[in-house]
Amino acid sequence: MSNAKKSPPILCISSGKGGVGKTTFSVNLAAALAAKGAKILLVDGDLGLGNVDVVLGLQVNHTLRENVQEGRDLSSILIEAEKNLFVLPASSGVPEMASLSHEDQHLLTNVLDDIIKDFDMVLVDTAAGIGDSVLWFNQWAHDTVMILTPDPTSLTDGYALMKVLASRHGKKEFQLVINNVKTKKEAHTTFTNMASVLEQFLQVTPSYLGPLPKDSRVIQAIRSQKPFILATPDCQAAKAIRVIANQLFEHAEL
Amino acid sequence: MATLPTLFLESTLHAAQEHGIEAHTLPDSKGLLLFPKEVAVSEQCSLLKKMAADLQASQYSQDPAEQQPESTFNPSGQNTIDCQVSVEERAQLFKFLTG
Repeated sequence: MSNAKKSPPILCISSGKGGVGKTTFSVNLAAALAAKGAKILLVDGDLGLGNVDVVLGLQVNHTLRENVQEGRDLSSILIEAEKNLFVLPASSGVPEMASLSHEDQHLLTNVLDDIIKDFDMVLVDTAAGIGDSVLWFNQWAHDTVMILTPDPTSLTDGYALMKVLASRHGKKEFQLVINNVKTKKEAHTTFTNMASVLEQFLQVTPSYLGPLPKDSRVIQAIRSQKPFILATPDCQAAKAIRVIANQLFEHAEL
Repeated sequence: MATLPTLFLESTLHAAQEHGIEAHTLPDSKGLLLFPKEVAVSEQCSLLKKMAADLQASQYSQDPAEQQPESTFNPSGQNTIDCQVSVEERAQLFKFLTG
């Protein structure tokens, strides 16, 4: 596998609603792709309340804050979490980072554009909501993966975010993951309904990336600060993540 | 005090002098405008406004080396587009949950 010298695919993982499994998905997907041999960069895009390092149980000495506020080189902030998996951690408890000026956003994406050339794929775990950082990370990325659950609040917030991205920023392609489902049928029904609403009101045709089952071992892995794909590789959620990783791996021609 | 691009600083100091305001260059690309003490604050403001208007009307071009790249990011997008989720959209989103 060659190091990409042009820009690698950048995948933004968002949801609108908080607490639906964005960070858990991002971390485990990144780990699954890394296990396949791709060199992955996972950017914690929740700049003021970063959690990627928590889910991975990482010891973080420097965060993206030092780059934005002090000009610290990104390469010295990068952490190698697992083989082939690198993380740019965000700070926690820094409101200023959650509302960067346009100039700082521009500067950050310039330095990110430079560092990502050494990777095969980049994942960005965005914050919840429809704030500036969520919107500009999605603008920067090539593709958007939306994490939804079959609950009214998740569906509303996810739809609202896609509406903003489609209507104000011209984004028309979304890949949907339906999380926390009891059956594949429940996931498929949720996706089909959302797709129908997106097509009817926004003229957007999403693609279905797949379901993620409700799995008690996910919670256990989160509490032990280990990706479940590594802690319990045979659990249902891990198998489902690997299916999604395989699709993305092939699509990106890695 | 703000650090100004070179040409803008020069233009400002030149405009100040044209309006009878004493102007000096300071280190680190800064400038200093001095008003005689007998000039009232209101007149100082009036002079500064005229100076600003003249600067705006002038054809000075910006030093290409100091031009900032136009940001391509517009996080708010087209602000006039109303993205509030409507009652009808919500009804469609939820119908399969109860049906």
